[in-house]
Amino acid sequence: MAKNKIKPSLNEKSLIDKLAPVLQWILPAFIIFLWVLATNSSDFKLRLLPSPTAVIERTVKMVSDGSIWEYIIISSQRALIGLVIGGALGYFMGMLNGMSKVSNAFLNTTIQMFRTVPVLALLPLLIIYLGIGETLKIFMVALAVFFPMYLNTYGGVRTIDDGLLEMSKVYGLNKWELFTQVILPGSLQSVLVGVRISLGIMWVILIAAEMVGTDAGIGYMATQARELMQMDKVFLAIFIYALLGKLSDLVATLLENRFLRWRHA
Amino acid sequence: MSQTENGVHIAVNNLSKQFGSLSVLEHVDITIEAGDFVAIVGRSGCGKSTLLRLISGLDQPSSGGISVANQEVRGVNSDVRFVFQEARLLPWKTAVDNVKLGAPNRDQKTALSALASVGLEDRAKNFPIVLSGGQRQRVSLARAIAGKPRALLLDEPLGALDALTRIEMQNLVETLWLEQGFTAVLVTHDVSEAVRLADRVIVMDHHTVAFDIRITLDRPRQKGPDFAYFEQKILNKVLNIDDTESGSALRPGEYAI
Repeated sequence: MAKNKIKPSLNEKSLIDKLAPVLQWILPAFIIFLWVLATNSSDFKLRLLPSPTAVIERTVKMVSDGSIWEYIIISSQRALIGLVIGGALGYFMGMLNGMSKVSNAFLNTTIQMFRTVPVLALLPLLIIYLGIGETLKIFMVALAVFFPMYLNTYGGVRTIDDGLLEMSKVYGLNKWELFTQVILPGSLQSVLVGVRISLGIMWVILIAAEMVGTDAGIGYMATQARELMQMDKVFLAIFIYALLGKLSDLVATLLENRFLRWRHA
Repeated sequence: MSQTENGVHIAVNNLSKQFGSLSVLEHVDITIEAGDFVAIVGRSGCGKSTLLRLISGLDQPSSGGISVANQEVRGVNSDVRFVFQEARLLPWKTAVDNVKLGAPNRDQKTALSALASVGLEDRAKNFPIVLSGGQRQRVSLARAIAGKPRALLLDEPLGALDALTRIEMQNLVETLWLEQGFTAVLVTHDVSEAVRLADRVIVMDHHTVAFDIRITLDRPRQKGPDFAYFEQKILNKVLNIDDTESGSALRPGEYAI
């Protein structure tokens, strides 16, 4: 009956649920199909498009001679160092301003003001002050990561249920207990949102920074390949970024599953 | 009805409380005997919850004073526990870890036995998210009694529960009170619940005590004509109906034919 179609039983997986794992690959497959089709065409402009086989060959070559790992490792190092410095500072400042009215009154307005300046807009200035070495890249990642970590930590502490804070007062929790048992876990969900955003923004900023005068890293690999018209290498660099981005997302999900178990039944 | 020596005497003297220009309590005087079970009923906004918060030390009075066990209340005190309308459990802690907050020295064994006394020892390792509303409120009750308080202040703790769970919880609160002998002060808007549980019901109206009556029924209390007499009498006071003229109210021991 028509009614049964509209209201499927709750524990019964609908057809679309069953097919979803297959369906999600249809669009990527179609794009690859178009790609193959385009590289086989005789149109001159499309010759600038490397064939999938050329990209695969390039990948195999760079993996076997180890050069791809050098690029990935140097970029990951910069990303992680920047993330740790900027993330830790953002977390610390967020906690401090979330808990202390005094420090919040002094600092929050200033931080919120600088938040609206795009990190990339500072690039010309930073090149002059810091040069184009490692410091520039790490500084930019740290700066970019600081703000999402600060805002989410601050918001997480500020939005802890007042009822729980009052309960803590009734049960005589001391300051240390209040911090470790209520404020830290209570803000964690929001902090992990900050981590997820930071992991994304970290790569975006690093790529841009690495395209400005570097002699190592994935951004350098892409820029250099462009100058030599090695289109397959440019493509490979883009794929590496996509994979690293996906990997970062996976890490964020793992962290959430590990630390927010209490949210799931 | 004094239980054991555990309960404390509570005295509220000429107590007033203003929030800004808003007066919530005006010249309230109440004396509660040690071990008594007192219910405070009234319409919303009559100041009954504020009174409870002042007794607990969570808020400070504007004028007048409160003493618990002949000691002026100056802040939160572990002899006096407060049960909120919502369970207020830490969602990232298991049931037993939540109860531990109320146990002396955060002792695990005490917490487990408190959980057992509310019938939830088998849910000790569960997070609050998997517990039902009634179970969460029982955990919060276990947390409140884990430290063997001498007074338990209950701010409509059963208000958000369904009717059947409410009855179970009322029985549980009564049992715990009979076993432990603390002084209980229950704020509720449910007159029937007040008559079911309390030795004495205080009706609050216009920011002060409007009516004060002893419930002389035997425990465990069942609904019947005597029960209905008290219920009607208190309800009339809450609703400001003059019951001297209505003539329909029954006195204890009298039955309608």
